Amino acid sequence: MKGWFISLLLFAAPVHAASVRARVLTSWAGTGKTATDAFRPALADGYRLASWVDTTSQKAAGLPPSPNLLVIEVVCDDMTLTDIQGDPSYLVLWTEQSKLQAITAGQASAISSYLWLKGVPQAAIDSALKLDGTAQEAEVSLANWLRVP
Amino acid sequence: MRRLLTFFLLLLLARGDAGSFSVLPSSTAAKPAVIVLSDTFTDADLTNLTAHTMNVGPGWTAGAGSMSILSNAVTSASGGYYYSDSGKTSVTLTIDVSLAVGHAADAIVRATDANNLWLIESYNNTFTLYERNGGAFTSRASSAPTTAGSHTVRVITRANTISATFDGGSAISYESATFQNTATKHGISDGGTVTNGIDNFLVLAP
Repeated sequence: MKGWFISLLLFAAPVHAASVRARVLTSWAGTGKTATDAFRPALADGYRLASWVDTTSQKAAGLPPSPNLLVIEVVCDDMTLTDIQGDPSYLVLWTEQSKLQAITAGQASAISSYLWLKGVPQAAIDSALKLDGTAQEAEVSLANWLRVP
Repeated sequence: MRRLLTFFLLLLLARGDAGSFSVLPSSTAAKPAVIVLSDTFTDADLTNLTAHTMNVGPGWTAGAGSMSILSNAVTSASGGYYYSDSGKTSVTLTIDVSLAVGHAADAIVRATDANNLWLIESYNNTFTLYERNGGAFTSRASSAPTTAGSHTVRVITRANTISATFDGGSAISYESATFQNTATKHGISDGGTVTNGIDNFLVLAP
């Protein structure tokens, strides 16, 4: 009887998706001509995010930049993050769980490949990015490089 | 003589701000915030804000468009950017917004004109910080509260950080707000969709 009651409680309890924080590489969308068509991260158009903030802070006068990329910090539910991780339009650079972990060869390759597909020369990738430290260090080096006009 | 010396010593201790030779430190208690701009929009219907006297402040400047009073709140048929000079760049701004679905209301901070300012917009279940630089809009941060209904928007500007909350939650904060970081005009805006939608404008300076 007790077990049955506990099972009923578990079944009846609402399921809340866990909230996760991550930094994601995306492109700029919009023309900037109106508030409804402001320059904005393309990721914010495609996914339901609880919140996001531009952590690259490129100068507004130079938007969209070349390459057309920026890093944003997002807060979303874990299912949305899983969807973003599977979407080749975006690249998740780290999550709260992974940001201090050493970057793997696979992650370094994924960042290089993503940037190369966006038209970034391999020489620039090799010289500008720190891909032998933590995921957070790689993200910081990438954001710094994207910030320079 | 001894009594006289004691009197002067007590006087010095009581003042605590006795110039370069103070024997007591000045009070370390935080200074209360000062109201630098305030408006409850109490006036005759259809009074343009430029013709309306603020509760506190030098008056409204129309940067663009037209905003007026209806039922002691702000209304606008065609949209507008209105601001007032507080003389302070670091402020805490509060407005009450009352919105239907599809309606927008904005707080303005650090404006120099209608094309150069920061907007904090409540619109269609998004709460967004825009940098309007040379007329172009750039979203810098956003969250996703339910915007329909009556709500309180609070914006805090400090140095290069602009933070905002919607009913105390849905916080957004942008820490690279170097654009216009010495501008002292703050105000309100909307896209021409708001009716009696903005009220109780209050700007405090620390």
